[in-house]
Order: sequence, then C-alpha cells, then structure tokens
Amino acid sequence: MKLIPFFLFLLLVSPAQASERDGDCLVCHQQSAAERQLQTSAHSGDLGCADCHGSDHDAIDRGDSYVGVDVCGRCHQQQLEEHRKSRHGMGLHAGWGCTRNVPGRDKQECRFCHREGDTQPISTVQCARFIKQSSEMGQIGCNRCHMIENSCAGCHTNHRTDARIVKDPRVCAKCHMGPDHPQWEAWQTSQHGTLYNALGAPDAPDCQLCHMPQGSHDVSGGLTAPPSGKPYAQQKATDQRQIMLDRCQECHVRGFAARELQNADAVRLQTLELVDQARAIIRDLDDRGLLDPQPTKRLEHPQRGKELVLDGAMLYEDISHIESLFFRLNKYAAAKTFKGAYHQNPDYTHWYGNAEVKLLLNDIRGEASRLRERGGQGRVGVNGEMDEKALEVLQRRHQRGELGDSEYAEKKRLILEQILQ
Amino acid sequence: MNKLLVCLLSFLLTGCVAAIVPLPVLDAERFSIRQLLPVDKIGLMAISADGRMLAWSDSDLELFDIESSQRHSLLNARAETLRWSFDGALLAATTYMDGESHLYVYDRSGVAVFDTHFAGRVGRLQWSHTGQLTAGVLSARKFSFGTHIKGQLLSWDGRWRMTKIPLFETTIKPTTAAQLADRLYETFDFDLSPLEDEVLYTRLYAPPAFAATRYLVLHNLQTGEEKQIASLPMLVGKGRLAADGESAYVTDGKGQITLQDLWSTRILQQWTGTRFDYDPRSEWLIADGGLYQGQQLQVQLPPKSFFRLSSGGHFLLVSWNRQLYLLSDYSAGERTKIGGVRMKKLQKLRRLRSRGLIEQAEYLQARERLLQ
Repeated sequence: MKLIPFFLFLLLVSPAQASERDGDCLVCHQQSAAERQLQTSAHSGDLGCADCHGSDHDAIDRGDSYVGVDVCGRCHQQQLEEHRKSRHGMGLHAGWGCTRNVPGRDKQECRFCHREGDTQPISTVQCARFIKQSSEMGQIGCNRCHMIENSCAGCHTNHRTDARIVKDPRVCAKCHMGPDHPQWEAWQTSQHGTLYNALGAPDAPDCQLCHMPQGSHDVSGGLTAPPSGKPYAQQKATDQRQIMLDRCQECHVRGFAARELQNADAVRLQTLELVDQARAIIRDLDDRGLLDPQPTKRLEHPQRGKELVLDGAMLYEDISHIESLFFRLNKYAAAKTFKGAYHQNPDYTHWYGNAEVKLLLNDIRGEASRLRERGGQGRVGVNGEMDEKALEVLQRRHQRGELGDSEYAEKKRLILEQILQ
Repeated sequence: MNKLLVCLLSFLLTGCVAAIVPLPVLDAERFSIRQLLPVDKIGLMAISADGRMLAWSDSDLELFDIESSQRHSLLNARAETLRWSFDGALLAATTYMDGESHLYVYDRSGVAVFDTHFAGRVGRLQWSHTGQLTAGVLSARKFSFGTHIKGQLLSWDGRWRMTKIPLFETTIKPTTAAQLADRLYETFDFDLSPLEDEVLYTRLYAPPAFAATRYLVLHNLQTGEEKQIASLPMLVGKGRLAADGESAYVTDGKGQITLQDLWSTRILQQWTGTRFDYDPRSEWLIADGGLYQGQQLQVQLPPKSFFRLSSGGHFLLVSWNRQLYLLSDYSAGERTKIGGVRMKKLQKLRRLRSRGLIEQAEYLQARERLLQ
C-alpha cells in the first residue's frame, strides 16, 4: 500500500523516461532548478540524475560523486580527448605543469616542483598563489576558473548544457578577462569584436571561431606560445602557426594574416626582453642582499622556500615593493601587450600594455637605485667591501649561466686586481 | 743509536739543584742545555718565551724564576691548562670544578691581572701574537636521549672584554657520551691561525644511528664558512696550523704526523710520532722526542722524556729521569710579520676563498703578489 502514492507521483511527472529512472530523486528534487534545467537540455529524456550522479545518495551528499570530465567523457569521448590535450586540460596545474615530455624543455624547471632526487612533487597543487589563499578565496577566486580541467560545466553549465550557451563568446569572458589576461576585452574592443557586436555570429569572428573551430575542444590549437609568452619549440610553433593561419584564411589573405601574427610575435619577444631586463635588476638586488625584505627574511614561498621567485610561481604577497612592480609589469602589462597584439587591439597593445611595461621598468630602475644607495652600494664594485659583494654577484650570475667561464674568470681577475692595489 | 752521542753538557745549577745528570742528546755541542731542577712527578708545565719563568701545576699552580730561584704559589688548585703569552709577559691558566671553569691571567711577578669564570671545560688555551687569549670551551648537558654539547671559543682582548665565538652544537647519543665519560671535553681541540682569522678545530658527531666520528674542521672566523679536513679518532689526534696559515700539522694519534696543505690536502712533509710541538715559524718540530729542522733530525731526546716548547719556540723544556732541562740556541728565528694593510688584504683574500668566491689557484696567485 505504501507504493501507491509513489506510483501516483510517477504518473504526474514527465517525460516518461526520465521519470522512470529519476523517480527516487524527484521525490525531493522535482521542483529544483537542476531538474528544470535538465528537462530543457539536450540530455532531456536521455539521461537521468543517476546516470551522472550515481545512485548512492550518501555519496552525493558527501560530495563524493562530483560530475567531472570523466563522467561526460563516457559519451563525449572525442571532446574529452581534445579537452585534455588543450590548456583547459591543465587548468588545475596552471603555473607549472610537469614539463617532462615537452620538447625542448629546460631541465632546470624540474626543481620548481621536485626536490633533487625525489620524483614526488612538493605539492599536488602546483600554483603557489593558490596555496597562499584562504580556502574560500581559493574556491571562488581560483577554482571557479581553474576547475575547468575537471569540469565541463565550467563552460556548459551544470544541467542545461545548451549549445547556445557555449557558442556565446561571453562564456569565455568569465575567466579570460581582467588585468592578467584581458583576451575578452582585447577582442571585444578590436575590429573583430566590433564586427561581432554589429553583425553577430557567424558573420564575425568570436572566440569559438578562431580557438574552437568546428566545435573542437582543443582550445590551444594554433597558439605558438604558452601563457608565459616564451615560445614553443620551433617545430611545434611552426605547426601551430599553420593551424591558426588556416583559420585566418577563411576571412583573410594568408600572407596578410601571417604578417599580422609575425608582428605580434615580434611585439611579444620585444616585451619579453623588457621583462628580462626588469627581472635581472631584481635578481641583482637579491644577489647583493638589497631587497627589502630579502627572501631570507620574509614568509617563505610555499614551494621554493627562501628563494627569490620571479617566474610563473611568483607571488603577489609577502614580497618587496620592487617585486610588486615587477609582478605588475610581467603579469599584467606584458600580458596585455602581447595578448593585445595577437587580438589586433591597438590600445591594449600600446597604452595598456607597452606603455605600462616601460613605465614600470622605469619605476623598477628608480627603486633599484634607491635600494642600492640605501645599501651603500651606489657605486658598485669600486672599492672597500664592494668588491666582495661584486664577486658574490658575479658568482650567482655564473651559476645561473648568465656568465661564461672565461668571462667570469676575467671579471674576477679585475676585482682581485683592485683588492691588491 | 750509533748516531746518538752521549755528551756531558755545560749547564748551570739552580739554587735547589745539587746533582749533575747529563741529558743524552745527538749533536749536543750545537745547543745549550741547561739543567734546571729535579722533579718528582711530571705535571703541567710551561716555559716563558725568554726561557726564564717556569710555571707548573700538579696539585697547585706555581711560578718559578729560573734566574733568581724565586718561587710564587699562584693558586691552591690544580690547573688544567697553562699557556704563556708570546712576549712572555702573561701566564694564563684554567681550573675546572663542577661544570665550571675559572680562567686566571698572571703577570711575571705572579700578580693576577684578570680572572673570570664560565660554564664548560677548557681543553686548550692559546695566545695570539697580538696578545689576545683564546680558550676552547666545551659545555655539555645530559638528557635521556643523549648529551647536548656545545663547542665555543672564549676570547679575552687583553683588557676586560670577553667574546664568545660559537663553533658547533650537537647532540651525541647516550652510548658515545657514556664511553667518553669525563674525557668528553678532550674531543674538542682548536688552533687559531697565525693570521687570527681562521681556526682549525675538532668536532664530535655522534647522532643516533650513525657511527661516532670526530672531524677536523677549518673554520673562517669572519665568514663562518667551514671546510672538513680529516676524520680523527675520538680522543687522540689533532691539527695545528703552520706558520703560513695555509697548511697544518695533523696527527691521527697512530704514529704519523703530516704537514698537509689545507686546500689541496697534499702531504707536504711527514714525521713519525704521536705527540708534537713546533715553533711559530714552523721551522722546528719536535715529535716524540725528536727535534727536527724541516725533516732533518737535529736532537734526539732520550726515551721517556717529556717536552714542551716555549711560546716563541726558542726554548725546549725537557723532563727526563726526574730532572728538568732547558734546551736552547738551536737557531729558532723570529716569525715573519706581515704589516697591517697587507695582513688585512690577505685576510680578505682568505675570506673570499672560504666563501668560494675565488678559487684556490686565484687565491695563491693573489697571495704571492701580495707578499712579494
């Protein structure tokens, strides 16, 4: 007799297939937004709650039956494969993923994540900036974007999964905007974006048209450099460039597109040179013990301890003022410059990007002078204890490979001459 | 023994000595040998740089003026270490009781000019050529899991200031501490470089699950940088820095004494013996009764004799057959002094080398130019 109300309930819900499978769930979740969205989705009638969430309600309550990419991949295998080989497939490893199999990788990179002789990474979460945050900040400020490695819903939304959503470029804007990588803003205010705003798809290029042609989930196809801007190995870069040019060619003459992208390449490399100049200034100050505070006298970097970190694992907190300037230069201004250039946006390339890079480089130089003066090293390497400091700096530069053996020996010889005089 | 000449020597009798007992030595006519006084028992002894003031300690500490035969009782306690300053003006001595050491400094008339006390036990005293006194002090604290030991240098500036220079701290396992017992402090030994910027010392390393080891370590006092020179047995073996500060006499207590280059570990000279002393110019070395000039044996003391060089190296105090002798005039020259500016530059070069900022070859080249 107890089953009668249940059967009556099942007769009331539709469509019939979903109702049959989701009966137990709908007892409580019939009025939920999730259920309503599912009924209007492409999965309506084909999938029930348990198909994705499983039938162990306790596990669902505990959060143990998260619908990750593997669940979707059971049916959408090709999309999952494309996703995994793209940068979206490395979302949780942003900062430094394991580069063991990357052609032309720098072996020095291993130590970013591994202690010498240890194959286990120092941390399973490979982003130092994430590690520094509260769990709440990490959840909202980091994972809402970086979860994309294991979440189709990051773009497709949880239950509606309507193609209209993911074909709208605004779906990308959730993450691909802001000071560190303003692809959305750069595109939207470029000529491509203007055309899109006026004409809409498919008559104007949007994110999906260039980065996800024919619905490909390999969003990195056609890119010739990782987010840091350092170029891929030559062959890979050449192959990827051809892929992008094939896409450009749908609207542009190939030669024109190639020149535009080559100009953007040049801007990127010029910008990286400026970044390297700024980085060298700060390394030099660190070598001389002039940063305020020095890495040895501040909270340790969660992955690298008391080391000065100026690469992708750099923090924006618990650092010195001059490092803050560098962070803005590298992470914000430089990124705006070359992302602006690749998205054909003059203002992002120049005023938000290039001009800011150069102004910040000026600030860094000025701050470095102030720190040297304050540390009594206004005239470095001239006499007194400065020659010892100069030797220290030379040694560190030699250890970093910035000075060859003979150049290092010659510079040391000159300093020893000064000491003996 | 065919080369051993038994000679009767010219000597002066002190007021308290009546018997004439010859000291049998090789080539005796080249030296002056003076018989001082009879001794019943060998205790701690030290002779001043001018060979005139003798200090010794058995159950108490006494000072004896060889020329005037005056005796001063300095302390009614047994001294553990005794050392005359290089100019022979001051005598330093330490005593130990209940975990605390006392340091006393006397002038030649026996007046105490400085005294202090501190925790730990002094293993060695050393005067620098500039008049600074350094004591090597080992303090120990016993716990259930092991004994925590701390080795440090205490330096007296010759006036009123004492400075502590910590060298090491470690915890040794209970079994090692129990084996060493009261001789634990003997594991710590040190020698200050003639340039006063480096120290060669021994440190015990005996954590759980590791074999106990005693390392001979070169420590730069300006940078704190260290370089391991050798491993030595627990209670025997020591290192002494030679006059150039670049090499060291090292004995492992097993019958070999070597003069080693500290930076290349090359053996420069070698002698047979376990106990040794040498003059500040590193010209003369006495090893197990053989007085050598370089590697050439000049004087062979009779078996079972005990010896001690004066701080300047010009006098050799010998105890044999219950008699005390003073051997001199064996041409120990004066130490080569390096002037202030050159000394500072040399110390700087050594500091740079200790930090690995210059290579040994670069250092040697620069040093040679500096000392030209």
